[in-house]
Amino acid sequence: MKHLSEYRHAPSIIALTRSIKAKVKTPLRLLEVCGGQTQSIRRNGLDALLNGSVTFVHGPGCPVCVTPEAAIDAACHLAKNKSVVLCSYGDMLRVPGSSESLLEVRAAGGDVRVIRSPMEAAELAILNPQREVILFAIGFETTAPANAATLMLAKQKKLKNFSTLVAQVRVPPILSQLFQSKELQIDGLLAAGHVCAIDGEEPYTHLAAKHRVPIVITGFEPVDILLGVSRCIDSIQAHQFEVNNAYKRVADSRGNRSARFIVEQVFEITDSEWRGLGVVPKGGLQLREGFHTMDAMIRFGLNQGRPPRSPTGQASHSQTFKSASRCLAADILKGRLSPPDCPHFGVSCTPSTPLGAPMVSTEGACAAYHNFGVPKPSSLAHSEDTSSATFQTRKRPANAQVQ
Amino acid sequence: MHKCNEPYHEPSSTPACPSLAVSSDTNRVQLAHGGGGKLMHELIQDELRPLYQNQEHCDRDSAHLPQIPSDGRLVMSTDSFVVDPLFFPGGDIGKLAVCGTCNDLAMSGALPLAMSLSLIISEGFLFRDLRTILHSFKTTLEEAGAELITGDTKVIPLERQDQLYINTSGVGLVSSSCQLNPSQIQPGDAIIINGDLGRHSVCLLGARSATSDVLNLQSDCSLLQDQVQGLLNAGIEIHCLRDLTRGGFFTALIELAEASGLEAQVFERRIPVCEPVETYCELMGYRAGFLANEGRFVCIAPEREVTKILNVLGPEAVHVGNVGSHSTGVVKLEKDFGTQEVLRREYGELLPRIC
Repeated sequence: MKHLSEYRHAPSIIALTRSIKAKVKTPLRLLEVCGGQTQSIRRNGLDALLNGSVTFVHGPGCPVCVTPEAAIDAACHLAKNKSVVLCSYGDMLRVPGSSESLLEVRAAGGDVRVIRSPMEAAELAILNPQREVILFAIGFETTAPANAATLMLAKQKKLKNFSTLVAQVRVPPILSQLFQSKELQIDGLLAAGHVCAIDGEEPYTHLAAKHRVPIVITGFEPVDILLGVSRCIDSIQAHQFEVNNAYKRVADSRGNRSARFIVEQVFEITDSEWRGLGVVPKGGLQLREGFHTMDAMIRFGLNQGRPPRSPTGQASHSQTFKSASRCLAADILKGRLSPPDCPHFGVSCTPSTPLGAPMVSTEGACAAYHNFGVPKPSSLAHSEDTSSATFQTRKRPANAQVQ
Repeated sequence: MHKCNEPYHEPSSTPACPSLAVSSDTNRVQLAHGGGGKLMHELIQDELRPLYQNQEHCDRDSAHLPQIPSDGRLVMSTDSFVVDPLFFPGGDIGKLAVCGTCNDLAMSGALPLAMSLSLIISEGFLFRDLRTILHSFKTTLEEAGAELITGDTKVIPLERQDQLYINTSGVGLVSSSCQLNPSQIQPGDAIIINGDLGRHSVCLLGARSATSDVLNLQSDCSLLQDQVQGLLNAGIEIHCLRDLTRGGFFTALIELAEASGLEAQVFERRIPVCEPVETYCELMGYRAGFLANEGRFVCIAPEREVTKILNVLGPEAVHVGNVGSHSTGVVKLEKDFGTQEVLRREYGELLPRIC
């Protein structure tokens, strides 16, 4: 894969790092809102490489972390129905609702299937006409087109045993909310490359101008991310509050109009609850009326007497995990708190004993710090595993070549 | 003795019945094939008895182990095989059941002598498939130089008719002087793997999602004993061997680092991964270092032995890192742009990423 070797090329990474450090006069804070970018930054130690010149602030970029508890509860409830096959993206299985996760429901006999593509759910419905197949449609703009295309296919094929549980969320509205917050101190935004590959630059141009935040569409490999950082610094220093695209190899500035067209046929914009963040105006998608027959909430009568939405994320979280009242996930998701600065991180909260969703999902910011080490272990003197909680820069080994 | 669900004593007055159940390719295993009656007897005689090199083993109540030479000791390992699908590019569950157990023995420096075979077969399983699997088992066992000495068969009703599970236990012989274990690992030791990673896992994942043709990939499923014996017979000093099955290279190394209390340093760019595996991992959000292999092992040995080890293991083997002197018990993955990652165990179930 040429794309990998090129964008993980050590000399390019080193050169970009030097160039960034040389042009940063005062430390900058850049927000990113994508679990994939959080993972890449942590796995590759990009924050350690930049050595304080740039601090990455991780926003609500983990799709399963922000899926509301009520949606997971509904999925668990449906999966317990013996006639149902519940199809979900993999990472969603691990995050608990108010009392259990889909993994636990599966272990107790529920038919929960991990899918790689939503089309697999439609195929299952065709192959198993006696079963009710439900697609748990979650995620950002990246998953919405394929989920919508599957619903269109199911409608076209008149699949009577196919329905969907929708918890789709949209990135620009939550960004708008975060930018309005006085608590979030950031100098620029690295916009998620794959979300922009669908949406294009347009939704971000307005955000950049209104909130006076330079925005750079950024990819996921180390070179991609450092290129995004470099461009963002240029815009910050030039006071250019506009959108720059550092991921042109994938994200066209106009986005993917065909994908958006499919999404618009199936979904309409709605206010939506984000776990830990509360209700975000226009923050999600719901099925259009023409697709209500495929709404699992309606089909299985869950829209009647549905648990009321909690007014704030904190309240929502308090029911989720044991001792969850201590969890500071809302502050993590809003970028107000870096995971290692949380008093529970690595002490009472680990992937084995999570206090909140960001420590459960592999795309969660807390899990990314825990799994790939922490730059500054000093504040974690009582961590369960301080010996391994390090992520340091080091000199290049003399024998780095394979003999 | 090869046993089934219940003991069966065929009445002497009953004339031998032609084995109708196993005569056609579309015939299927029935519950009665494990029920202690005529069908079970036919199953043993027609399909399982031919697997025994020494027919006496098939008739005895318990297996007789071979004599042990005075300078050797016996080692034993057991493994259950529940692979899905049963047939995959580069092998099947029959081959895997021999390789898996023999490779465990090989990691102690042992050569396999004897093996048991326990089959759990779903009612409705195709005899055609059973024969193919048993044939693979037999040929791989012959290749390993071991013999089948005891077995058992059960037939159970399962939701799917194409399921079959195998347990094999193996007994091997190792020289009394051979000591391969984590406590032998020393600071400065070299870490060598015998080939590229992740093929077996990706092959199975591809077969499950019907993308095998696109991947054009064969499992690495194979016996490792010749490579290990090659190292030992060449007089190379080896400290520890570990096969890289579930959890892959990274998990094996984490276990060895913890067991030895020493730090392992691995250079990420040296880790060999073939292009189809790398592509698949990128698409699904997996890491090849955590994927299972069935023909790969890590060899930890003094640095001075590296050249000799690479000569024995061949051009696919790579010196990927070294054991450090710090007593941290962790594995550090070195990036060649100057950072390092501390490896942690993964969750344990491969869950593809969302987007």
